Amino acid sequence: MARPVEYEGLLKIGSLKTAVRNAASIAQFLGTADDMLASAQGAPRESARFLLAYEGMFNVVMAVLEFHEVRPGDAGGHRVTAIQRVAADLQLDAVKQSVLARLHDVRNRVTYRQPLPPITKADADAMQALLAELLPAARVLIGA
Amino acid sequence: MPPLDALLSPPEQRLLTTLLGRPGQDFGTVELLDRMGNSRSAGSALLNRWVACGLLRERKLGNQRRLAMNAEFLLYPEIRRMVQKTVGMAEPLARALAPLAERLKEAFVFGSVAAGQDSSTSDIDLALVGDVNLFDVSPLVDAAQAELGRAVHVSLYSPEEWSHDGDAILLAIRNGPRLDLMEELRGQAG
Repeated sequence: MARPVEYEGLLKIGSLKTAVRNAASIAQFLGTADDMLASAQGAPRESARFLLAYEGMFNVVMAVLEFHEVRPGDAGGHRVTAIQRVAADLQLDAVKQSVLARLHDVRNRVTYRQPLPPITKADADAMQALLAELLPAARVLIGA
Repeated sequence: MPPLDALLSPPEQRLLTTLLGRPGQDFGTVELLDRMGNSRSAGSALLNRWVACGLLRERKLGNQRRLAMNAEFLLYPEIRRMVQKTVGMAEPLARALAPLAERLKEAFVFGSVAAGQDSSTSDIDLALVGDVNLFDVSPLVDAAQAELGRAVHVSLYSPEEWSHDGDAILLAIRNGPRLDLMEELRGQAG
């Protein structure tokens, strides 16, 4: 299956790089996302629940990218581009894409810049809901 | 009548909104004149007057004249607060959040912006308390962000979380400096 034309554009500008598709690797990404979702559902603290769900979401993104035989480029900022591309590919609507972009920024802020104000229950709820929607959509796209 | 109209003309309000929206950043005169939207001669006269009285500071970059707010000006904190409470921040945020007015118990800006310690790159920290979720809020805040030209970080709390007294961080947010949006929000919704 040819990858969507938008991926070709991102390859041209270096936001994505080509990669080799490996079915076992894709299955591992999806399995890890499953594990992260299950762990998030049982996490006792909002920050842990949020970060587990975020990492699960990024494993979904990596699975879809590898399915399309690409990976994020090496420079900073390509991670968010990859997330946005896959979210659109998995038919996430505009409101959910807005929330996903906001939560990616929350993750970067608390990880790299400023842990205060801390992650809220609303952040964790939304991140978990997005992972729960993206994961089955990725399985359908990939045929896994 | 909008409250700031009692003191400042619309071009003056637009000028202050631009300058105070990015504290510490300087702007070229052409950009400021464009933002003011009145005639070039009237706009230039206003800029010269505000430089002369010390409200704006000026520096030369080659042939270019660069202007910024002067944080040392005697009335700077008061002017900044007046603009933030109206056209510079409270009005754009309240306008964006108006669809949720009935469901919000509290809405305010906190952190460095409310304390007057922000720079041009600081996020605007917005606290919302109510029966809403991020899917309700995020697209509305995106619109405010675009209008303000600065990132807005939302901390969203349910009334139950907000009333929890044992959380030191919530207490600090609750008791720290704030720019309240509820009055403006009720006005926008009404």
